Amino acid sequence: MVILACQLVGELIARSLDIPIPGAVIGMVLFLGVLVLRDRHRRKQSAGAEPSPPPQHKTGFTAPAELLLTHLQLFFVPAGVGIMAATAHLRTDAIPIVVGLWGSWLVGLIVAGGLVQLLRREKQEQP
Amino acid sequence: MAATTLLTWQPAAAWHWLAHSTLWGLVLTLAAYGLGRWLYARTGWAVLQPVVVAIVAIIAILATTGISYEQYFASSQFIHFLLGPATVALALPLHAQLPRLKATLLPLSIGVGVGAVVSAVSAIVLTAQTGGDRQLQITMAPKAATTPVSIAIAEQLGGLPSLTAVVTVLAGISGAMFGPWVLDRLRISDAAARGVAIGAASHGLGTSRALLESETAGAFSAVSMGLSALATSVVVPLVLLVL
Repeated sequence: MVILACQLVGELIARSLDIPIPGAVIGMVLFLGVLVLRDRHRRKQSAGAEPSPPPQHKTGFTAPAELLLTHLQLFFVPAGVGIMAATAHLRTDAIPIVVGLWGSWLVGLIVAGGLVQLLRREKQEQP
Repeated sequence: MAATTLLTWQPAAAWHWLAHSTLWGLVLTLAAYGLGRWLYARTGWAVLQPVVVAIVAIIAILATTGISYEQYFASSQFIHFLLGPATVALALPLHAQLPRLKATLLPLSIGVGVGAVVSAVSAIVLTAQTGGDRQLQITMAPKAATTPVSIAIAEQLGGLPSLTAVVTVLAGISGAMFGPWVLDRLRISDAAARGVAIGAASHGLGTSRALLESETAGAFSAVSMGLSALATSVVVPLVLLVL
C-alpha cells in the first residue's frame, strides 16, 4: 500500500511539473524518504537507551517490496516481448542498430564503471 | 437427451472468451518466467537470465499461434503494471546502503554524468557512421535511460519511440546477460563501481542482475539508474544540438 501510494504521488508530481522523470523513479525517492523517517521515529522511541536496531526488512510494508524485488525480471517480460513488433526495423537498419546499441552500451558501461572505481581508489589512498 | 444439449463442445466460444480475457497473457507470462527460473537454477548459466528465456519462449509461442503483440500486451497488463511498484521497491536496497551511498556521492555523480554523455554521443556517432539516418540516431541516443524515460525523450525529439523501447530493452538485457562478465574482464571489481556501471548502461533490467550479485551493487545500480534517467533527459537534447 505504501509502495503504491508513493508511486501515485510520484506520478502526480511527474505529470503536474511536466518533468521527464518517470513517476515510479520519483516514487522510489519518496519510499526512501518514508524508510528514513521510520528509522528516525524508531530511534526517538528507543531514545538513546540502546544503539538503534539495524533496519529490519522483514516487517510490515517492506515484505511486499522484497517480494517485488525478488521477481524484478518478471515485470520486464511484457515490454520485452515487444521486440517481436520491431522486426521490420531491426531487419532494414540492422547494422546501425546493432553497432550503435552494443558499441554505445559497452562504452557507457566501461566508462561509468572504470571512472567510479578510479575515483574511489584515489579517495581511499588519500590520508 | 437434455444432457447432450447442456454439455455441447463449444471451442469457438471458449476461444473467444480466452482471447479477450486478461487471464491467458498472465498465465503465459508466469509460466514462461517459471520456465526461465527453472532453467537458470538448473544450468546456473548467467546468460540464461529468466527474463531472456521468458521473452524468447513467449515470442516463439505468439509467432506459432499467430497472436499479435498488441493482443498479448493487453492480456499481460497486470504484470506490466507491477513494473512501477517494483521500481519504487528499489528504495529498499538503497535504504540499506544509504551510508555508503552518501560517502560515494561524488564519484557516483561523476560516473553517472560522464556515462550519460558518453552513452548518448557514442550511440549517435556509431549509428551515423554505420549509415543510420538522423531519425535513427535520435531513436538510439536515449537507450541507456529506463524505458519510460527513453521513450519520452525519443518522442519529444522526433525519434521512433517504439523502436527506442526495443533498443532500450535490448540494452537492459545485455547488461543482465553480459554486464558482470565484461566488468570481470576489465577487472572492475569494486561492487559500487559495478553497480553504477550496470545501472548507467542497462537501467532496471541490469539492476535486477546487480541485485543478485550483491546488495551493494544492487543499491548503487538502482541509484545509478535513477540518476541516469535524469542525466540522459538533460544530455540527449544538448548533444543533438552539437552533433
